[in-house]
Amino acid sequence: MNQRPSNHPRKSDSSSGKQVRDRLVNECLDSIIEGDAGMARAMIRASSEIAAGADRDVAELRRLMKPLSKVPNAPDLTARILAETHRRRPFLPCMTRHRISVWRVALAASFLGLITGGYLVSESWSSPISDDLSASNAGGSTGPSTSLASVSAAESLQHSLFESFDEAPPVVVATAPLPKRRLLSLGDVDGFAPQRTWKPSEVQTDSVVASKATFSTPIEFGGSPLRSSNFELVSAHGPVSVPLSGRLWVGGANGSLLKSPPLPDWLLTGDRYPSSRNSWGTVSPVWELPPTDSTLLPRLDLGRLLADPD
Amino acid sequence: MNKGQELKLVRKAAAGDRDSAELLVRSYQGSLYGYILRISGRPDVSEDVVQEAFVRVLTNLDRFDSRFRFSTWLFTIGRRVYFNMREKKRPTYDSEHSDGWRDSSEPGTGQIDRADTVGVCRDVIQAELMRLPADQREVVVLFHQHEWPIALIAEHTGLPVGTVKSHLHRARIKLREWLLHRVETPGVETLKFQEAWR
Repeated sequence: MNQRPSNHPRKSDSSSGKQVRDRLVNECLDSIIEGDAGMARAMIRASSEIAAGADRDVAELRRLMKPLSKVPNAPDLTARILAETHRRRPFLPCMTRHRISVWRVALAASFLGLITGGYLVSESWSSPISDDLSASNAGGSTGPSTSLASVSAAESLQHSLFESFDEAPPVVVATAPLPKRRLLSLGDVDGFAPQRTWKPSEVQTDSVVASKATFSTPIEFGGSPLRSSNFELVSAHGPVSVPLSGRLWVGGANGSLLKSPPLPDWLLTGDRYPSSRNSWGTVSPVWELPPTDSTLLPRLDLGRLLADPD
Repeated sequence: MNKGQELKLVRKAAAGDRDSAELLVRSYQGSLYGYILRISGRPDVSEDVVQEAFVRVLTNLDRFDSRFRFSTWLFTIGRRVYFNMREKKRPTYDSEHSDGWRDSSEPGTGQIDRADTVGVCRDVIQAELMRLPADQREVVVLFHQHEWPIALIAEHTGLPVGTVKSHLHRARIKLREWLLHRVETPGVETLKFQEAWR
């Protein structure tokens, strides 16, 4: 439809004349619909040379398009529409709708408050447990506050200690502190594990066992009897007696820990223990740096304990 | 219905007045149905689209911008619903891939009497309209059936005014050629067409 201006020299062939006429017809029809028919017709008359028959074409095209202006008879969908609308959003007075909205907001707020309250209550219940832990540590000093206290009672936890001495990984010590001091749960251990950094150390472990535990006999690791001289369970907070109600099962190539209600924290030390990456996953690293001399820690003779478990 | 009456009805319907909503539906369902029918060529599709468009409009009346005409808003939503349905249910809803109005001549299963609709759909001009590209068809329908100004069509379709004009002009040339060919060719459809023409 790109047309040269009318005064521009051009070939007066029939096709270009037809194009101009088509354009005039279109312009005329547009003008009629847009309400300016007089201008269109005046334009056609003014260009009478090239617009011969354009008037007729306009009339013809209008007649051809006339059926299109008839809007088809539509089925009455009113009932269906209103029913569906009412189903999705009932026709209610503004006041009623407003009341419903207020009720919904109030309900949501109370639900949110309930959840928050429940969370706060659960938080406040967990604190006394750690207090009990601290209190039960006779002679407890300024020890770490983290523990496995939030582990529920009588929840069984199995951990492989190691496969054999030969397969034991290097002696490691947890050096990364907790992100913040808080109670540990079993779930925390998994989340925390990747953040741990380990490095070889003379000290076997500084992990804290928060468990009510006793030890069965005989204790063997990887088929070898426990070298009690290198293996000690020491209190994290001072010399206390090992509680006897819980049990730490150790036997064969693997050892496992059966948890009981939380009791004072314990450190397990020794030159080749623990050796499994998973063994002490539930043990919270309480020291930011390993103790340089494990003998400084309060110790408990595990051999003596095992000799008389009751 | 002028703009003031329209706005009054919209406000009342938005406030939960069922009668006002009903009046709005009765006033505009015909034109929306005609628009969708002409661009889709499918009465069943048109019914679905009209229902869905009205339901969406009536459930969101509080979002109506009073600067515009209700019909423009309704047509915009109807158009969007139609294109969405066509995309989702292609080729079921795609008139380009179906016989369109011929398929729709079967009696409907609902309560709607489609006899009149089918009669209109079968007119020759609808058949020729369906030969046009979709964008040209829509422009022709809005311009010649609903007599919308070109600027409004451009806004509605999201096309530049120049493009709308060129669509319109090309479509007219094609329609004129095809329709004149029909007139000159004897046949039952030609008779129908000539009947409608008069």
